[in-house]
Amino acid sequence: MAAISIYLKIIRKSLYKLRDSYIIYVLASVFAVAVLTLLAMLVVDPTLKTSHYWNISFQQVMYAMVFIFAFFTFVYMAYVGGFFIEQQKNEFRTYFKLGMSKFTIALISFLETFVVQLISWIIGMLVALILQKFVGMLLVYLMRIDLTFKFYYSAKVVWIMLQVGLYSTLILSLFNGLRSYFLVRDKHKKKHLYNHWLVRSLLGVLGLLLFLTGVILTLQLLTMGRNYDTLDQSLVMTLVIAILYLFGSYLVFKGFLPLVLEILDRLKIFSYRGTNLFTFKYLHKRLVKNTSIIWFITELSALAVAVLVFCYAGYQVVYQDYQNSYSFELAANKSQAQEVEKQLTKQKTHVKGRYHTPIKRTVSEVWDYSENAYVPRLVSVMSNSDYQKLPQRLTKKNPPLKSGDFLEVKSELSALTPNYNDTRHPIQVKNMPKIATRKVGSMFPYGNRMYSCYMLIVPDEYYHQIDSEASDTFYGWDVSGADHFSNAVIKKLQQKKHRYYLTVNIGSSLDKSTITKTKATKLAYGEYLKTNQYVQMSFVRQAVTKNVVRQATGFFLFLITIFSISLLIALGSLLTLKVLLRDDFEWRQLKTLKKIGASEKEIKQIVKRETSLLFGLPMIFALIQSFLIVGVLNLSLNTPKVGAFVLIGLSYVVLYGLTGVLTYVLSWRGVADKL
Amino acid sequence: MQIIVKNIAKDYGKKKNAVHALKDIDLQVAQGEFVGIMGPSGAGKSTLLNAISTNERPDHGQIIIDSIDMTQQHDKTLAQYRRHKMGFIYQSFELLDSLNVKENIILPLVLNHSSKKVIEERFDHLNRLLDIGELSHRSIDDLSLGQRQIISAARALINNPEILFADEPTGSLDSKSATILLNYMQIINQREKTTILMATHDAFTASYCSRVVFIKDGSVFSEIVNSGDRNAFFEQVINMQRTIGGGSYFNIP
Ligand SMILES: Nc1ncnc2c1ncn2[C@@H]1O[C@H](COP(=O)(O)OP(=O)(O)OP(=O)(O)O)[C@@H](O)[C@H]1O
Ligand SMILES: [Mg+2]
Repeated sequence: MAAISIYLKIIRKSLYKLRDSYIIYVLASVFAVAVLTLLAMLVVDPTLKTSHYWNISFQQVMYAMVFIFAFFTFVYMAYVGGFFIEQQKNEFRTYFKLGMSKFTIALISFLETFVVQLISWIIGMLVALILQKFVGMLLVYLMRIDLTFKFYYSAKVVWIMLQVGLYSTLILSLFNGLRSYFLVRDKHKKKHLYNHWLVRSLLGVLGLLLFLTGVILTLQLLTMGRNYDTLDQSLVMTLVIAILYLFGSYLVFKGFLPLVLEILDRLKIFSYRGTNLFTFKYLHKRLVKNTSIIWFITELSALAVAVLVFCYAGYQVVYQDYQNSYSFELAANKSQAQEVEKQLTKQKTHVKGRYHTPIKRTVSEVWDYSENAYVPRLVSVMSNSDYQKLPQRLTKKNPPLKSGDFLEVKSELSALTPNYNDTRHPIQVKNMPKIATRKVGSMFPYGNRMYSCYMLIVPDEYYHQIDSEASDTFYGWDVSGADHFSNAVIKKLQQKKHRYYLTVNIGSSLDKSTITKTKATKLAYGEYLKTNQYVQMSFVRQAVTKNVVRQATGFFLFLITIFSISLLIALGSLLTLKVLLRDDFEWRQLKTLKKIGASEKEIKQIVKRETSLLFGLPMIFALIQSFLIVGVLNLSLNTPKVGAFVLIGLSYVVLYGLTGVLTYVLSWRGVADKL
Repeated sequence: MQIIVKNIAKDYGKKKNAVHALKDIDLQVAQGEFVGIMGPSGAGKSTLLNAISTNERPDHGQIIIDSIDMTQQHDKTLAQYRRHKMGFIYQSFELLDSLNVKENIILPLVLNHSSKKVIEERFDHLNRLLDIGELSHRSIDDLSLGQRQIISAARALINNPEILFADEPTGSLDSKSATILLNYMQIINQREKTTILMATHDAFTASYCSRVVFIKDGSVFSEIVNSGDRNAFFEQVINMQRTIGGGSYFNIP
């Protein structure tokens, strides 16, 4: 009995002694557990499940995400949990020397971990229950679904999470128990940190060069135009830059920064000044000891920032794009125009505007960049004067046209490819003069789902000379509010029997190629449309597409945001712990310094520098590295999106800055307490 | 520097198992005195030195140095005062492992932002006196205990303190080194009128003092004054140690 009370006392004491660090760890773990529980609950959420917006594939992705997140949470807990054992190393060794058995020591750390883990897990689940409605609302908002999210807690999920929590707690405690079991036996060997300092310094300088090369290449990436020649090159370059950064920053941390501190230390003008004599060496040692972890944190935070910027910018682009291209509500071709009109009258829908435009279709040859050759393709043609008659709203994203201009309209998706704007290869329309100069746009009047392949806007004269092989007329309705169409009506309007196929029959030359129009047949299972075979839709309700895109982007934004933020929080807490957990050696040094007569202010300054170094390094290097994403965006979206980077970067700096300040306060409190 | 200690007391620990390390100690040290403090282990010698040197605050009582009541001053003022006027040789040396020998010695001057010239001059001076030249670029980890003690003494002396506190300065030294250090302390005491307070167990070391105060269980037990005859004084110290118990038994004839 007496023995047990002593163990409990030891556990209580170490929990108390490491309380600041444990609180940080528990907070980060609570966050992770809460997110995990929330995701798990969203998977089975009845509000979402019964909503017809909620796609089964969303649910599956969410489900997969739960596992991925659980995995990372576990890795985090296992890794960081080990710090605390490491911190108590000397204490355990003393117990061992005093005759405590290894098993008892393992038991003590087992129990200590168990308590902390269980607390984290339970608080995390409670937080999840509290935040459940809020997070659901965020998801619904991001997906722009019109849905009232209700509070819901699933007893099943709670039960499963409790079990998972218990098992992981047991496993992690066992981990730590084993850790300390083997720790006491190890002889503490003094490492010679200054070994091969020359080699290390040379590597450091090399690392700096690599890193700077990366920076210069990134800037070059920004100035690089997007065209077909540079596509491969720029892809390779992005990869090269990433690798340069990866190795460069590691070598800078490992070799160059210690070298700088070493030089500062050798220069007596700097080092013979106040606490510098001590500080440079102290920081040097702390840096060397933590190089790998700082580097790891830096790279992962750079990744998190880059992913966030990419998502944010991507979301903006996709969302705006659809906003613009689908300013239309309803579109139909000749076959269904009357039916749509009839339904609109029946539903008493308020129609703001009606438009229709004749369309000619023929065969053309366009340059295929992947095959480096001309390929025959279906083309839909609209005359310039008809195009100009359309409301501005439908054409505003395309470049402005004069009556003699040609315009090539390609889909938004191909707008993401690098040779989108390249017009070096003329377009050849069957029996017509070559089109060399033309403008390029991505906005299809009547929406791109009404078209197959690409379209051309041509001057009226040119238009009249084209032999149409399959003409049609497109109709559009701009309705205010909703169209009030029921599902049955929509289904009827979209019936397959109203559609038709357009097939390009490739001849020996372009002039011999033709287009045939056939009734749409039901495709047998496993049968697909052939390369040059297209379906003409008879009716398109744009709102549906718009919603799907909104929801999908919103959903992925939700997941990736949660993931990146969790990553940033985990890494931030890791840094904080790295600052807070000094080893005995470091403590002794600070204590001695105080005894020799360093004032409180001077020691405070050392703590400040220490925190700034350990936080500043990853921050600066992560920001520089994640700037690469701006170059990538420049290439892929044709806009550098510096704004998005500044926004996310700033939030990152604020988040880590605040964490840094908090860490400093805690760190100083700990030092002041102990000295 | 004149030091007046009035009625100071210091307890460690909480109520039930509190240790009364110092109980109402009164002490006066005149400018330029070389005072020894002796007493058995745990008597409170180190605690007393720490209190007078303002490293630790007493629970009550006054410490007046140069007519300034130190117990009334801010920590910041005290730190400044310590840095400019006091030197310490700690019982546990308190050297910084990450710095080499020379850097450890010059640290107080560097902390005070002294010029490089002064630093080098002072270092060379001590170097010659204490004969530590060949150690100067070694790392602390490699030094023997005695070498560490002499380094910590050199560090205490480098900024020409007006008061020197020495807690067992010769405990780990061989007799030759001890004699060199003690002679040096005597010289600065006589020439520069440095006030010295030294805690020791060793009667030979104590015989350098002009006065020895004996404490036991946190109170002043008695004191003896050096009349000028070192040998006679040595005998007196030994006798007193025998009366009080504890101390170094090697010296008992
Ligand atoms: N930081 C502390 N916390 C608790 N008790 C302490 C502390 N420092 C000293 N003491 C106690 O105060 C008493 C006096 O200690 P002090 O170190 O002054 O003795 P000393 O005379 O210097 O002994 P020694 O000759 O062994 O150096 C002792 O009982 C000691 O245990
Ligand atoms: Mg002592």
